[in-house]
Amino acid sequence: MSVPLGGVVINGVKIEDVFAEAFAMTATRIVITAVSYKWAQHAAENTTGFATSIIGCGVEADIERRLSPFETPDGRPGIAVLLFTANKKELARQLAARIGQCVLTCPTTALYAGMEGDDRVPMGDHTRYFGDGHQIAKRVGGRRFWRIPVMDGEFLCEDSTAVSPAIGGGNFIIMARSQAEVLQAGEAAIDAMARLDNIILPFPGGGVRSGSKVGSRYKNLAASTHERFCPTLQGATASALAPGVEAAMEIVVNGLGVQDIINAMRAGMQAVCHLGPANGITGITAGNYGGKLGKYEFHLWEILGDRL
Amino acid sequence: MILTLAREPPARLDMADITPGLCAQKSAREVAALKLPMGRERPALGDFFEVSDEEPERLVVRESGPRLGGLGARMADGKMLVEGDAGDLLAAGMRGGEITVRGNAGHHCAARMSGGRVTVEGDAGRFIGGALPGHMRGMKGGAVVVHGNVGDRAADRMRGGLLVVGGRAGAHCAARILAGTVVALGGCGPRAAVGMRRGTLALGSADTFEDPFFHPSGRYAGVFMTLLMRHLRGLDERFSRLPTNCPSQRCIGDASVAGKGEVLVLELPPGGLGGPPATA
Repeated sequence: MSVPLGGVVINGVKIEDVFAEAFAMTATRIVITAVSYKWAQHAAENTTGFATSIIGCGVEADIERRLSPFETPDGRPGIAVLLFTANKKELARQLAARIGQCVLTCPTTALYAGMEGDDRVPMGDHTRYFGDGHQIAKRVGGRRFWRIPVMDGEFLCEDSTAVSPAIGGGNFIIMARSQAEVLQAGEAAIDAMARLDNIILPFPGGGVRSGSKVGSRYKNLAASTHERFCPTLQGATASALAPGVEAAMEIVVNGLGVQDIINAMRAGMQAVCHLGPANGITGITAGNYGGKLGKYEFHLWEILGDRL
Repeated sequence: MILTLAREPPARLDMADITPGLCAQKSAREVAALKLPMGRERPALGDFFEVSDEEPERLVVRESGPRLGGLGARMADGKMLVEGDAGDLLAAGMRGGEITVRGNAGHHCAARMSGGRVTVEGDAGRFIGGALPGHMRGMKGGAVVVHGNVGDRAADRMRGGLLVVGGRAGAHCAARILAGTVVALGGCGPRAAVGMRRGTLALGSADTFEDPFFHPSGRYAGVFMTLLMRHLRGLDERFSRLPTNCPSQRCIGDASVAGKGEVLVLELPPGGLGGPPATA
């Protein structure tokens, strides 16, 4: 890695000396199983739909990974889903709605807690009322489940799941010479990060094209376009984009712990650097609020191994 | 600590206070000096047992017999091994820990048990997991495994927990059960589940269950059965050959008390538990 005056460059990609500002959140993991991955996937995709940002959706959720039958409580194919919210109360509310509308309804599914702990939120304890008095509570091996009669037999749902402090908003911003090239880099970063446990990339496909800033000229809007990163506004603003940069993309990552975020950001940025200027990549930066809002700071140079 | 029965007590000796937790805090001499209820008398433990400090990790009762009542009744943690038979009220009131009985157990085993794990490698008497006389509720938590047969009134008024019988249960099995799960792999005698409110009684396919107040509700092969089978396989090596899932014929009742419990007559594979072990 060469170190020219003014910055760190990896494989020709300039890494800015900035940090990503991230926030404390509350999270849980749930495990959806079904007779096949196909049906577990249907339930998981619906459960994590409309869940990109807590600002407008109330929850940030995505599929963490597939689970083999050897990893699930009932020995069937499963999918782990992570959900992040601002607080436990909202998490309970979102879980109740999404389980009831998206998991209970999906053929052959069952639902389990994906996290252990004493601090818990209800799952089946809310959904059980759909059984209209015919639901059955059972305890197996110290875990409590609800069996809710439905048309294809029973929906089995664990009574509750544990919650955990978590982190949302780890990020980095890729800058490239064209939209196609920033998309290619974004996809490479997303692919590398998606292999990791304990994290999700909550935005559509894992990428954000509409990175935002706090505030707006319009009173009712909490956030608005981040004009410094908009290539079509380079002449009208104090642009953060170097000449020749025609597109940027932000990758946002939520994780259960600091090290999870670090690992994910490192994997993503390394994938981008690997593509390098030959594929149109010019630099990587990150979004923050001057350290005034978020509890966590993820410094790009520290994550990539060297800090000058 | 090892307690070896050297002289059989002339009457039932109440061993409820002798727990692994207590023995861990006392010397052999102190344990031998403990007074135990025996009818109207309170002899010293050392009058009947030889006490040694060996086996610091658990409490072992050797040469045990049916006059030792209440073994493990006040256990909250730790491990106890009973080499021989246990008298009545084994683990009655137990809250935690593990007890293994190499022989048979008497009546009222696990009455009022709320936690922990009991294994009886022989048979057990009547009212296992059931309510004591004058009490409205029986066992409410924990797990009891009996490798052999159990007597009448198993799980009578049971309130929770798991009772697994590798052999056959007697008459009135799970009568008046309020909640919990009873599995009798060798079937049971007549009048099973009479007065059932909630809970599950799973019977080995040796019997067909018939009761006019139980309504057939078809064949059941839900995910719950997979969880239960997996749990049983892990609970005791004796059940390691239970299938991954076990369909059953299901009945709901007891309608005479507006009950919503279930009786599952398991469709075990031919040969019972003699087939190859399940893979998951």
